Amino acid sequence: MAAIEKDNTSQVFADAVLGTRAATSVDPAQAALKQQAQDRLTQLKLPGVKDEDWRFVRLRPLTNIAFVPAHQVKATVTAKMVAHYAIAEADGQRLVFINGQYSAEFSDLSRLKAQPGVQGGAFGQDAALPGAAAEKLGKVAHYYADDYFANLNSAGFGDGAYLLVEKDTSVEGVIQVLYLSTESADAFAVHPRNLFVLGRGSKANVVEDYIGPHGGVYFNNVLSEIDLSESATLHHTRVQRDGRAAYHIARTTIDLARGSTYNSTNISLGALFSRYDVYGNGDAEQIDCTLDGLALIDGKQVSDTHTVMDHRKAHGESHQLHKMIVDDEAHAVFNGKVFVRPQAQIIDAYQLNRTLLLAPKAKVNAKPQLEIFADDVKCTHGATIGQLEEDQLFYLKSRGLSEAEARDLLVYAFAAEVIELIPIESLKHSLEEIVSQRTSKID
Amino acid sequence: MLEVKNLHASVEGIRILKGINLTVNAGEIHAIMGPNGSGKSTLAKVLAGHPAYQVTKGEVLYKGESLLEEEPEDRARKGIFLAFQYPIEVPGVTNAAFLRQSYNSVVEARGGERLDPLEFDDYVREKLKVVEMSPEKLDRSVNVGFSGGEKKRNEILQMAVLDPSLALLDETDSGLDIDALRTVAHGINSLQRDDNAVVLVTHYQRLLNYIEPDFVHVMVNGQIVKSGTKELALELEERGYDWIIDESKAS
Repeated sequence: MAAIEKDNTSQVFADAVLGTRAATSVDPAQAALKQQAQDRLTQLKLPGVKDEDWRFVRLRPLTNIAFVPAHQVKATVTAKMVAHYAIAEADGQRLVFINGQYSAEFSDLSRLKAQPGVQGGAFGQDAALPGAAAEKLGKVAHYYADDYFANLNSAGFGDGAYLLVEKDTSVEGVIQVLYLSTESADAFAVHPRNLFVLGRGSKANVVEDYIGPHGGVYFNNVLSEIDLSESATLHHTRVQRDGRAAYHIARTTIDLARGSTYNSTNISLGALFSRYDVYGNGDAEQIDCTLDGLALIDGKQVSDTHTVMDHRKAHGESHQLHKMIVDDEAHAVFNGKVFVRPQAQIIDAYQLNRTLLLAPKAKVNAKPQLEIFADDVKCTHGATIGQLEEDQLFYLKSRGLSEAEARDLLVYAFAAEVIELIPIESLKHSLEEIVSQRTSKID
Repeated sequence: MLEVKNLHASVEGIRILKGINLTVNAGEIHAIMGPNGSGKSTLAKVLAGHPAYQVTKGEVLYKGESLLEEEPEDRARKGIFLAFQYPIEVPGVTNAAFLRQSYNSVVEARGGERLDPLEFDDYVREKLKVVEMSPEKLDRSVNVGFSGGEKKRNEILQMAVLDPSLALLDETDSGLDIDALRTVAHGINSLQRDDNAVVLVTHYQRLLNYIEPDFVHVMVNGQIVKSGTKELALELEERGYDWIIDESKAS
């Protein structure tokens, strides 16, 4: 179990991040969750290299930092800053958090409020959750029950975002949850908390956005819970564009009921250290779960993605395309677990992991991990790690493109395959722009 | 236009071209034929600057200037075009974007005007007619999901867009059914002028029913062993390659 810690780092770190004034809530359910998490934390240790799921990365740089809770930091944000990151399809359906604190000023829920059968907004210190959502809070995250960072979030979250969609309701447009972090002399910690609950047969398209357009140090410790009722469909796009000196650790857990569909794309571009864990709980028949991802990193960035697709019942489908582009001395890690339990017959699981290494010191650890206990299963998987293909480079050069132009085009094309999958036109285009600019700087 | 003098080339230490001599003038169509392994594809690739091949001896003059030191992109910008035997798939890059970027690179090097996407769209739609390709293919990724015939037609479309001085067509007819062959041949013929030249690498004679060569060369074991006119091609069709192989062994 947990090794004995000589210097009590785990507790010290938690105390610093949470602060002496423990975040509480007027809502008894939330208050109870926080207390429970705080208690749990005293029993948990930070993961270390001896933990299989953390052996490829080092947490010391994070835990060495003297963080202060975000509420201690002063933030200055202009409307222009927010507008820059606003997704047009989400106008009137946008929640904006500044350093983890809900901003009524910059949020706009006018269109969302006008839609019958949809409730969305912030919850936290001053705001309770509507009943149907409240009963799910902290209940979806069972896989991460003993996870240090998940508990740190539950103990420390200030404000969170919730979406509650009633049965047979199709939410129009896109809902954007935008977490903006500002520059501060003090390194601060934020615990973004998301809860999306979709009723039977409902449908929604959500974007989770993490922005930190500066070089300041901060720590986003995210926990997102998603509960999909029968035949519900959620399109979920996560874009992590945290600052170059920031830390981003996130967990997303999804409960899939019969016939439900979870379609996700996770784009990891920013942060000095980024770790994303997902658990897809396929504990029902006929579920359809997609966990696509793209990590594009350079400099000394680290991007670690650990996913779990757990097929627990029959007739399930899952799909995963995870791509990593690694330049300079950056380090990408991928562990894609697919479990097919004994009762999960007739499963069609697909996992493809492709990595493009662009520099001699670029590093990748890729570990597909398939544990199959049923016998009527189709499980296609592949992992490739390579450089740009000579044949393709020559083909482009033979049509007049320079070495640099050919490289840029091929790297962009490599990333584009995942970006194409995002079901939000304007976001797709702005990401294509960003990737295009970044890949042409890469040389 | 092109002067190849005693060209020797190897791949991974294995000698493929063992002394090629060839002269191609503007306005001419040359066919290079030969059995499998003769090195005819290698010749086309070496002229285009494929990095897998090392030139060990010899000289190539293109429009009077030495070619072998030039990078592939510079050769393309100077008007050399290679139609690949196995066109490469480039997922994530649309045909339209690729063609436009190629065109602009090449035309800029020639001192011409770059075209913006709208202007280029008009330009390329005209060229689509040359190979009877539908416009919807422009939005597809380069060669992804294309049949063999479609890939070869896409090569000729690129040729039409880039308007090369010297087109090297590497087994452009292989894998094509009769209709696709006719379309491709028609496309190539329509691009022919007095100021450009074509070198057709082909195994079978049938393409030459549609594209009339001025000269036919036969390669065996890395060398051109016989040159003639299109009658030579017909003779090969009737008799196969054995007699030439025997002849070259004897001499």
